[in-house]
Amino acid sequence: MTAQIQAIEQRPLLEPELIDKAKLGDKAAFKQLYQLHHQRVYALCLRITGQVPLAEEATQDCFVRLWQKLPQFRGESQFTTWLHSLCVNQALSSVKKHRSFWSRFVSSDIDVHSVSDEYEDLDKILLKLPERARIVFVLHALEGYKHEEVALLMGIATGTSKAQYHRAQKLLEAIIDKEPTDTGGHND
Amino acid sequence: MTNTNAKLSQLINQAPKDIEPQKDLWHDIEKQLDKPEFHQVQNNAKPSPVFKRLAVASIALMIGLVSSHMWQQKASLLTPKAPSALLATLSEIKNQHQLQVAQLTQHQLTNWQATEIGLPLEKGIEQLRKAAEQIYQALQQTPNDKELWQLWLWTQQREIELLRQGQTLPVTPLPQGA
Repeated sequence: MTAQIQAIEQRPLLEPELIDKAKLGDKAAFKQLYQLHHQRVYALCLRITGQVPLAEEATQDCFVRLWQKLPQFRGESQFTTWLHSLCVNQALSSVKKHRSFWSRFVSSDIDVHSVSDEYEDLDKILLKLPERARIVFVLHALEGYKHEEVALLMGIATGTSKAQYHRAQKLLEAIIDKEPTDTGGHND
Repeated sequence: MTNTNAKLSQLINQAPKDIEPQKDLWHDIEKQLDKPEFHQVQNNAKPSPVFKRLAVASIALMIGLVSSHMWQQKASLLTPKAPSALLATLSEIKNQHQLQVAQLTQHQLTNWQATEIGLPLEKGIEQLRKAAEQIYQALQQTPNDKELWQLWLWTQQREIELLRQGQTLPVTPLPQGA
């Protein structure tokens, strides 16, 4: 019986328990939430921002925002869905903020060779896409948003979202055709 | 489906859901959590933009009311109605407003009240309704108070505006992509 009580006391906290504790300001619980979700959030931010430093900044911003807004999470939707929505908006906001300032001074061209080899194939070629086409492609093809939802998130017309997706698809196919060795043998 | 097309579909399906950041990000996050500007936003603890706008609008309204009252006193334009007629008008306007709110609620396309994004609006509407009820009760006691009338009508107008704003919120259910 004592062993059972000890086992219960020592078991890792479930996500809803972590959320409740973090809502009350428990940073240790919040760190565990970070550990559970940071890789998923970082993947989303990297694909939306297209740059490692910006993705790191956006991921940090997402979790700081999550910390601030967590007391407002009332459990009416899945936590992961709520967090995902928050992170998409935060990452888009980071892109917008960065674009408005830096785009005046630096080229938007991306050197694909500077991308770490640890990323999987699609992530390497995604970085070659123009910003808007890449974001639309990520949200629609990878994250499962409908074009109407993508349009709302990005503040563009639904038709523009569809056109950008089509453009991204064609560009990616062209890249795959041109660079079969770069995109084909990375999973071994 | 062409080979390239199939290859792209394959890459999409194989794309990992998770990517490990190249460096530890927690340390910087933790430092930010301690800053006062990033303290947790408890429900009702910090005024939302809607409340701020309401506060600004209230101040503007009060200034307007005072100016209007001074001007009207000077011009003696108002002829007070009998209290019973005013009470009847009061009741009629309240009923019309409730009918309008019911129609708006019945015909709304999205259940924005049940979403996180709709929370500030919902709170704003709730506050307006409480204020309107208190003003209504005060008006029943003093139906000749023109300032109270204007304030009451303003709360009703704002409630309708916020209900309409709620229907324009982007609350389409999001996919389970996370």
